[in-house]
Amino acid sequence: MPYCSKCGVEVDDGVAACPLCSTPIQNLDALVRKPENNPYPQHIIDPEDAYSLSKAERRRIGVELLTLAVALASAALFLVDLLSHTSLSWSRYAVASVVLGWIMAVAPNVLYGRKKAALAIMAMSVIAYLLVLDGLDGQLDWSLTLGAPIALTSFMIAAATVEIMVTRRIKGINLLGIGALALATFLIALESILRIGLGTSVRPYWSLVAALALVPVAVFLFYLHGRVLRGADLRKIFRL
Amino acid sequence: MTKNPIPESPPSPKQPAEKAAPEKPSRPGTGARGSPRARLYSGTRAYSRERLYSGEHPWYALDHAAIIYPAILSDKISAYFRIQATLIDQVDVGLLQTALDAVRQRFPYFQIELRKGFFWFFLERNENPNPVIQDSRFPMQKLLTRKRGGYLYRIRAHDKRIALEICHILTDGSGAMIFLRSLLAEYYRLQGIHTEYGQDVFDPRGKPAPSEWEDAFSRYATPGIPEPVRGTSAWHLPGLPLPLHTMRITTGTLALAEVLKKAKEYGATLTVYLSAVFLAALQDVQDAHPRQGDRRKRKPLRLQVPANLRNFFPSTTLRNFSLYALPDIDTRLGHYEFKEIVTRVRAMMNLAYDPKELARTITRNVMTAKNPFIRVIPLTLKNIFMRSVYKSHGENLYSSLATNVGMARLPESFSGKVLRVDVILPSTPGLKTVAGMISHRDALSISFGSVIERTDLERAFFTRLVKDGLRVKVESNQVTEPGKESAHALLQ
Repeated sequence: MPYCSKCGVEVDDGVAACPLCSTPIQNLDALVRKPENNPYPQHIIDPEDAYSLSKAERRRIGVELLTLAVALASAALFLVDLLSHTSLSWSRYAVASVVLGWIMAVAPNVLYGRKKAALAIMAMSVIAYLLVLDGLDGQLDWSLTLGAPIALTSFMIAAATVEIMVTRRIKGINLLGIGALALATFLIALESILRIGLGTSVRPYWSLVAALALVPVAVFLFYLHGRVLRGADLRKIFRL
Repeated sequence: MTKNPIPESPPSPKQPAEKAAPEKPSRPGTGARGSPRARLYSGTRAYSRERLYSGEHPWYALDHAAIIYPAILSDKISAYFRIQATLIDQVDVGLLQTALDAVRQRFPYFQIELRKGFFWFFLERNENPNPVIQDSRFPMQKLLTRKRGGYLYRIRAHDKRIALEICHILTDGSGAMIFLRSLLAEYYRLQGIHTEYGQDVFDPRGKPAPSEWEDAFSRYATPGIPEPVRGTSAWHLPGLPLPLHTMRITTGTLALAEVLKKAKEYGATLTVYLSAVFLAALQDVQDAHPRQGDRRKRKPLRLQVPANLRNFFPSTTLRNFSLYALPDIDTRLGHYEFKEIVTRVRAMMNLAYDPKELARTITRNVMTAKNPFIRVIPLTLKNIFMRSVYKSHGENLYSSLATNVGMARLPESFSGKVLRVDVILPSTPGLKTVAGMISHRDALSISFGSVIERTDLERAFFTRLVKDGLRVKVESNQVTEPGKESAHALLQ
């Protein structure tokens, strides 16, 4: 029987090295390691892996629980409101918020793996929420002129920014520059919407000041990125 | 003989996986509404399997040795141990499943799941199927101990090997051996080999006696006697951990007669001799450690050697009923020669294995758990408390653990069909490497379970046996590629 020349212990035929000291074991009979000689199987299968819920099941349970919780909370709000006022008043606002929260939580789970679709639905539900909040008293005051345009613009600018950032080949400090430019664009758009909505002079003012501060910063960051820190990873620089 | 393929993984609890299980007698009160299991798996979307069952043996309290274990369970501490039998023939998994389903009805106190009460954990009847599952390279990992519906033991099979992995919450080595013997007896009975039933092998059709699930600790506690003297903290092995959910098993097999002869030469029993070799090996590792150069700053080496209390206090319980001796050597006093260690270990074990001394520890354990001020602490807080007690009154006090289960005592009818029996203990991050020993016919098997990369202790132990003139055959589940083990080795 083969044995380890260092430890003096015997080992099975076909074992390449001593289990205790790893000294290679000379084996004249069988130079090839026979797989059936392994005392333990070489795979790792544990029952735990089969017993646990799959991710899809977890998501389904999550949606179910959230829906139940939202339904119960909404019913409770309506009932409390009805008991004290005999008609629905404030509870409609509270329930609208609860429903928005439900959509926000459920959409990523239902549309798992379809990130863009989920985000689109979430964005649309925010705009719808603003319209509903405004329209619950019977007339639309601010949502059409201010709320919806501001929300829509911010979503579009955010989406465009992310798209531009994702397509950059080297993701370094240039992302900060893109962010600064996006912020400047957003501020200008925001002021324009505010001025149109409120019916004041159309020419933007304070947002231009902000943009004047942001654009040079962005240019400086692009310069840093292109000439000094080319290729530096943001995760490296800003690691917490 | 037809070989059934081993299922790669157990059937999901949501599928009706009960083809092999024998029909249970219907119980009063459940017949009209259909069997509980039929309702359990009737296709409704139920995410938790709520209790549908309250017949005989509805629940048990944990025994006084077991109460510490649920608190310390984690990914790294499983509190399981494993007894495996290597057969001459390939395992027939279909037969093994039939045998398991027949035998486990005889052991209702093992057919349980662990549940949380407000003040204590308890064990509740579990009606789920318990399929035989395929063995893996790293046994006793990712266990279902704290999951609802999970059993605290499982039967695994691979090639020619049947393994019982069982949690210490349920029983100790003695109880586990009775279960494994009964399982093997039924497995061979299905193949036409009849076995006499008795104390060691239970008849699957028999009725469980209440004494089998008694908490023998409570019976033998003597209120009022002084507490045991608490020892000092011991030295622990150094070493970097292996990756999570892996462990190294190193098994050495020796000829039992030769080892017994060698032990007799030293005037020792087998357990004393092997414990002395273990302590000597620990001393070798400590001597080789670069930071242990200054002898005055060392800590003593102490070994936990469990003993079956049924040998000292009459009991037929299948729950935990064991305590331990703690033989030690204080290396601050100088280097110990092997003969000195044998003398010391023999004396210390004789002193420790004394019913009066053992009664001190039994009483301390029982009275602590019965203290009304401790009982009213909610379980969550108690767990924190118990974890620290486990450190201060447990692992800190001993360097490692070496348990000798003794003879496997398989019945004559099929003992010739079993090549070897091993007992494997998974180690803990504190102890790092521990050993389990068991003898079957003329073979002594010594298995080390380790969670560190270094193999120093195993190597020191087995080379000591080799230098004593014994032939040792070593095998391992090879956690790391050859060469990796020796990268940090202390011993040259």
